[in-house]
Amino acid sequence: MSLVRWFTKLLAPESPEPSPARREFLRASAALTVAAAIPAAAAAATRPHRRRHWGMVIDLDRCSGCNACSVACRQENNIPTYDADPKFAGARPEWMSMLWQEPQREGGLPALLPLPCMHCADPPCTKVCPVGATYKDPDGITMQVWDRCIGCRYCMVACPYSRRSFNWTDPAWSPSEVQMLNPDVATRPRGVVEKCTFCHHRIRKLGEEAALQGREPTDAECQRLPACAAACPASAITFGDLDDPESRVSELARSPRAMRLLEHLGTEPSVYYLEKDRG
Amino acid sequence: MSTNDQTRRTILAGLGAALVPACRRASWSPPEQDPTARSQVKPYVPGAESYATYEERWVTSSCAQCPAACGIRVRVVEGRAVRIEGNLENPINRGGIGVRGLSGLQALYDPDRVTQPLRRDGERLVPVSWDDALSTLGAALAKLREQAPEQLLVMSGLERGFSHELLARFCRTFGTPNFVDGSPSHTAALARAMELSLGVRDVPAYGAENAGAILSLEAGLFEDACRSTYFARVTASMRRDRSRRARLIHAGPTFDLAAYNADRWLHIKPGTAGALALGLCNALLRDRTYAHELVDRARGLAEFRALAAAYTPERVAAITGCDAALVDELARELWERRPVLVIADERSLAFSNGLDTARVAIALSALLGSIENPLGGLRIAPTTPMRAWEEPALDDVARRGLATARLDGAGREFAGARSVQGTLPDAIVAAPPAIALLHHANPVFARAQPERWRDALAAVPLVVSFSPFVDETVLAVADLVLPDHTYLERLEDATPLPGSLRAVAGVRKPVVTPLHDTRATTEVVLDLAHRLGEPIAGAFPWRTSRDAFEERWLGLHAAARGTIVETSPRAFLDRFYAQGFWADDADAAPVPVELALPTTWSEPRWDGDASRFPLVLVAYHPLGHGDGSGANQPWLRNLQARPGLGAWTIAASISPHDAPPGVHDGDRVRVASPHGSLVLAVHLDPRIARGCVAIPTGGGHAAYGRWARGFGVNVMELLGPAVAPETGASLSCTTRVRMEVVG
Amino acid sequence: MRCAIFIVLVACRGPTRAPEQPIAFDHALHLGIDLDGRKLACVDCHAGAERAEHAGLPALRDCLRCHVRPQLGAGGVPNPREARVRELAVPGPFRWIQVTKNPGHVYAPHRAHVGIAKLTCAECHGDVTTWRAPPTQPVERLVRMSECISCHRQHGAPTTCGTCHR
Repeated sequence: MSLVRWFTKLLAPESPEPSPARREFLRASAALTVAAAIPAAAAAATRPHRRRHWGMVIDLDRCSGCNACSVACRQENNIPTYDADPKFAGARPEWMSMLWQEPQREGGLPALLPLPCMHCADPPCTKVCPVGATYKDPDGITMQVWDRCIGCRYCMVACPYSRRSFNWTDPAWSPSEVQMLNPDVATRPRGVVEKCTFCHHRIRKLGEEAALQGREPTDAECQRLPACAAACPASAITFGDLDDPESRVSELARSPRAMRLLEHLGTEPSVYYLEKDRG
Repeated sequence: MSTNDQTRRTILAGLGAALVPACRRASWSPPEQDPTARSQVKPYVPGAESYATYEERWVTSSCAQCPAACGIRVRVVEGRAVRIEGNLENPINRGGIGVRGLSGLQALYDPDRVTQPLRRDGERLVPVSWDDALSTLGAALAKLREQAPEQLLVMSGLERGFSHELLARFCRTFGTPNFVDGSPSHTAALARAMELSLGVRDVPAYGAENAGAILSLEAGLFEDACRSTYFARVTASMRRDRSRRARLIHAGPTFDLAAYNADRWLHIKPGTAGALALGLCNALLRDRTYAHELVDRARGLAEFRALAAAYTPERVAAITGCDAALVDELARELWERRPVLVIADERSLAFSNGLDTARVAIALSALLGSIENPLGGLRIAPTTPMRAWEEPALDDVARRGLATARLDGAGREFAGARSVQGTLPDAIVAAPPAIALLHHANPVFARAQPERWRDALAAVPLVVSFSPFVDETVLAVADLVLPDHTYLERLEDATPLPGSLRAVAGVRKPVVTPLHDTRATTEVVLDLAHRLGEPIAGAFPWRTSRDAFEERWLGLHAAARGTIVETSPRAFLDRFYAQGFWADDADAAPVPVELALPTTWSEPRWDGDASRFPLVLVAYHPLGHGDGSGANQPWLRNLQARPGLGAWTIAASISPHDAPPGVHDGDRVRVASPHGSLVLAVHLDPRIARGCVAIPTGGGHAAYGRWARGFGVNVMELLGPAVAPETGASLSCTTRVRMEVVG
Repeated sequence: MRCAIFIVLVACRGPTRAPEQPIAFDHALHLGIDLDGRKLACVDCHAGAERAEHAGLPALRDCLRCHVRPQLGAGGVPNPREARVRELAVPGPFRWIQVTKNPGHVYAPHRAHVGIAKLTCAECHGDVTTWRAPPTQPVERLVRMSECISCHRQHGAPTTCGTCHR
């Protein structure tokens, strides 16, 4: 059996929780890895259903800067809150960030960018993960498997958009606050990298509910599917299938105002921004 | 491309250095852990492993985190509320929701809530049963009524809604005139401006959907005006959904979210928006291009012409600091784009000249033909056909009590006011009431001169708070705490602050069974009324507050129009509860109005000697702050509302030209006013107006739970007794300050 | 009166001892009953089996639909075990003891397996008609991820991590 196959078989766990010995091995092998091996699980046979390319369009001309998307994401995904301890300044997990960009030219005004994970079609992060904790889902989502992550943070270095957060500490909710956690999303322990998932759990649930009725989800059901898109009062965030030419996202992505961040890097992000029109 | 590298650097820099370190003690520590051990905590979610019934339901209700009262849907799993999202059907928000609405879960599950009634025992608050608490209070009230019923002071932090009205009713039948609106917003002043100018005493509604432009006169449209979801939706639509893009023009001293959203930001000095508006009025009148209909038959036209004539473009430029040429240009643009929605809201009225500014804004709307114009502009708020409760019968005790003079001077020294808060501490010290009831009111933190409030309330023998949280007032002076449910646990009306043109009546339903031994304050009021016997009990003929509310809501049923039409009252109420709201069929039709024009306007007054205090203080409510009750919700700290001010930051923003020499971003400075001083971090802001310091409210809590405590400083400590002359409204931008570096 | 059901978690891969359920429910007996020409279906008690994430266990009120009156056994003899149902029908929590527990980060919805993939209950739970006592291992085979994966591969179901994990 080739070295690569042996390695990937080692990585595919047989039990839900790898033994401590295996974890030690994985941590040690991270130092030796030259190229990440795509885990066998990710390339397995898939059920035939319509392949999608999930994408998002954020209209900066509609965005009012209200931060509702950021808070909705926190609420939906059980993102822990740290206090203002300076030790954690700039390091708090944040999936949908609001970035103020100072103006490039004299006399210009700052602009606000809501930043989810770009779910690049050719992502740098999946290429450097030594343990296959991040991979491209066939439907276009860059997945993050929290149980596999060993916390080496190579993916955080690789991501040119800095959209990945690290859990520097175990989340600590009081017994009262733990009740408001969303049961559809697991919490992440210390040592795990986390990032926006395009609310994959919501996409999955919608897909199952539609399949129960023998159909695929419609574009109208997908437009406000992630928590950020659902919350936005300005309807600035639209979600859907970029490969479907009739979907609202692909229509918006074809707009003359559409742009993507850091296009020259060739990451092919799935998040389009419609430029603000200072009319 | 170099711009992309620049962008990447900026993105990395922006994300990596998100904070200006603030002056505060951390109130949370990470769990004790060995840094070399791998975490053994497995991913978990409560209830995900226990799946026997996995009961999940969705409850429609209304938010109460700010006066907008957006419609919400709450997902409840196994009896736990796990998600709040906007209700797509509700015309107020149409599925959108604001940061405060989303944070409601953190209020419900606040670990430091008051879990049962408390009474004071020396320095501590100790548990007491509801029976004991209510019989103590009931006995005290009964005794007071025999002697001097006017010595009951009730502060209600809400300004509309059934619980507010029930408390008012209680005061009336008890016989005390001292029912004080404890709300921190300045809507009372705005309502007074509407009354003086248009004869209707309420804040206006906005016709924005078809307006050609919105002119914001220092309004806090997206931050503290509690209509952020409405304006987010409306301005997005103005920009992108019209064949001709409508414009938002914002005049204000700081780069806040309104400036960010504006197509044009006019950088003016704080409190001077009225001068700009008068300059625009002057241009319209001088060139005779104005809407004649309302204006030509308005009262006071001659005086107003004289007033406006003094505000030439040069004078406007001198007062506001903006360019003289833009006044006429802007007037032409607004005239061409009419109807124009001219907004002066609570933030515009934070200055001593707020009432006059609001009246000038109304006058400008009239000149632009934008009052009661079906296409857009200022509108009288629509009303719902809800029934009123029957007027209560008053006995002689009540009548005598009601005839006594109010403590706060409303109606006397403050002719246009129904309620004044700023004068109360001195009035209470001079003549302490015997009993004070505080509902949604935390004056020992949230009002100007918090120390003075503490001393004043300490002089009241029995202070009762209905707060569900241990706030500063509870901690310092409350003798009895009768904790209310949080809004997700109680049934009541959701009467929105006027804004939209569609009359909406919302209902707020409990989404979970109450978590603790708390009781709805409306039930407590009924209980006390029944304990006091006739005639007060007769004014509250309902067994539960739900019966009282349904009596009102059945007016909607009787009107037989709108989104719910049913033959039987029970069927109507069932659908009303299920859908969460009733809305009228169509937007309100314009009503005829008579206009009275203002005769005066002046620049804002600031306390303190300009030579010792060269800067003016702009105290503002930051995004998510609303009425101030959000400090215990950490999601509301994680907001990025202004560039340069990261999450978890209370800093003093000042222009680099005005800052003390040699100071850097993040350094600690002392900001002192004639009334107090604070030490906090400085933020050098190139976009803030010259000569002012901007500090957000909401920091400096000494109580209110683990997330609020010990974080930031309380800007209210810098304010003097800041009360507007005619309206008695509490003002927050009235004092001069100076800034110096701290070692 | 509704009774709330709370589940006590038994943290183990498979039970090491048989827990004592509050009611010694006999699947074989109930599935053999003829109710006016039809038999009890799994979903009559496990209501979520086809459309929800979890199949669920019946609340006491579901049992009381029939057992509100004494159901006599063969020969018309009252059964003390059956009487327990009415004894337990007082206000307060009623607990089935959960014997199979998936970790919280596992998402294995009945909806996908029964509702969409149309697996029969017997394929995972075995022949329930032979269960005379509350089962000690209701899900015979599926205690390891490798078993989930091999069945998914066999049936052509997706095996990407995001399919089954939260």
